[in-house]
Amino acid sequence: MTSAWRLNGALISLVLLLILVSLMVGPSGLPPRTALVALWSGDGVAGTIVRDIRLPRTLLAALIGATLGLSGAALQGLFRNPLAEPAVFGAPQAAAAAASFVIAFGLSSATSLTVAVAGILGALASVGALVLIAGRRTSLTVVLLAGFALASFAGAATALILNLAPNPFIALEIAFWLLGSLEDRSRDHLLIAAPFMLASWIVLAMPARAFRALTLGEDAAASLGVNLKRVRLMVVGGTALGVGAAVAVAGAIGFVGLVAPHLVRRFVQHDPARVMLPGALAGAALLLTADITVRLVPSAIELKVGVVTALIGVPFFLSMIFGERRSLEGPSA
Amino acid sequence: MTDTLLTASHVSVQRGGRTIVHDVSLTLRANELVALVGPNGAGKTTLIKALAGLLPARGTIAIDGRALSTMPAPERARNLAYLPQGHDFSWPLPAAQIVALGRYPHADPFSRVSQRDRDAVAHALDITGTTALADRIVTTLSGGERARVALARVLATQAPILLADEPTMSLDPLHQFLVMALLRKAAQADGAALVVVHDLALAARYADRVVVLDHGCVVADDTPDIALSRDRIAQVFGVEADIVANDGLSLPLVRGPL
Repeated sequence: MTSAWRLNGALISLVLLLILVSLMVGPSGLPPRTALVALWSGDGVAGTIVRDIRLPRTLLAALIGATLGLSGAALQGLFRNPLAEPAVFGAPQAAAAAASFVIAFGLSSATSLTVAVAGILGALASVGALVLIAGRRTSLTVVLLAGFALASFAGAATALILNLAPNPFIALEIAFWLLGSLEDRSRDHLLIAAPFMLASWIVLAMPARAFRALTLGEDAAASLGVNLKRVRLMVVGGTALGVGAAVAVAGAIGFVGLVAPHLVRRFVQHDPARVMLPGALAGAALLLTADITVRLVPSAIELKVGVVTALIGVPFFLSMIFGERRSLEGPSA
Repeated sequence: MTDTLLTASHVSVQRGGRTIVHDVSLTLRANELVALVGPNGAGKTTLIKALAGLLPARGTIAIDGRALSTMPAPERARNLAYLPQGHDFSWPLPAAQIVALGRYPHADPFSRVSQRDRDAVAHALDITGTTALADRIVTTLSGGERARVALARVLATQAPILLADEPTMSLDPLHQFLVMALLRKAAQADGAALVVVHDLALAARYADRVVVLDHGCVVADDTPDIALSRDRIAQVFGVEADIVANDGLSLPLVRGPL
């Protein structure tokens, strides 16, 4: 118990430190004191930079990172497997496809509630379809194959929308936004996405104890009084809310949900319930770090944070598949 | 006068359009261990899952005269503990945590662990001889150790009714005896146990009553010597058996195919 709180305490300190660093770093570097004073008073150029430009971006990175970490941990708890994660199930890809459809055909501007709702519906369609296809007694192989198919389908849908986009500028806008980025995100973006993400935290955290019971398998968990239908619905709904809203404002950012819980799992003795909070905190720390990194790398155009998380996350995913080869080869996981 | 803990009347279960369990009626009375035997595909697992409330079934299943289908899940879980086949664990948790999951239906809304919970877990670890394994990671344990931890989890619930699906599967003879003796002991503390067993001699040795299932139907429900007669074993299992007297019991010894 105490070791878990020490871990959470350390992670909270790390997230706060990274938030401070994130407020300091950018084209005009600010020392910690100046950044804090500017945040507090909001005076002058420093105030504008910190409050209007860096704060929304920083808070979005923390909230989205935590949401992705938490939804990864919840999907892993539901599927009883460390390889589950929103991006593997095509959730961000589907959310991006739905959101770009709305933008491409002029149904909405990029900073409106409509995009967030479209993103949520897209994510809901993909995660819901995956849970329906996988059904009970999910073998890992079926889940991964179905996830691959859904992600590919969402990718194809997005390509079609780009293909048919009425004007090339919109296509360019969509393409950049699909790469996943927190650049130039405003308070409006924050206000659109935050309520959905906070709601998703509540929905995803509620079945935590059921995830622990699921260690015994679905039948034994059900016999202990776990309402599997309700747990599935909450994980699907929570993931869709959180990931859909995150994608709607920041584009597709993948693999944080895979990496974050994995990094902290051993510190909570692999308990699928107790991994939720540190998994969310680690997700926030990871995305903050990635977003700080893209601002520090010297390049003419800022790197996209979604590209960075994928470049790190995919090899990580492959190495985890390597570790899970035996259960993948077996008839069921 | 015996107390009936669980009553199943005219239970039928359909899966994938096929009727797997046909019009089964059986009772579990206080202090008895009932063995459920039958050839592969007879519907034993389906029946025991239906009795545990995990599969939709026609007919009625009642605990203490109350229909299982109308009972809230946590209350059902406090009255009836179910041990599935296999003893596989998805996460490498310490054994004590696995056993503590048996207290899941007793948790208060704030999921605090009470002294009763701790006592129940300690007792379950103790009687299954797994106290020394409490801090070990379950996925690293041997088959026999895992089976005992899984059994400790079921016993930690302290539910009066135990339903165990092949708890002795892939265990060595000593562990088979240990597991059956523990289930009988748990049943004799005012509980009742229904245990799927493949080894007919093991069933005859430990069961107060044997229910023989064939093609989804109950073909015998009686004391072991009557339920597991030479003729019935030949008819249901297609094997020739000798009935051997041992310790005052009649144990079927399978000789070979008919």
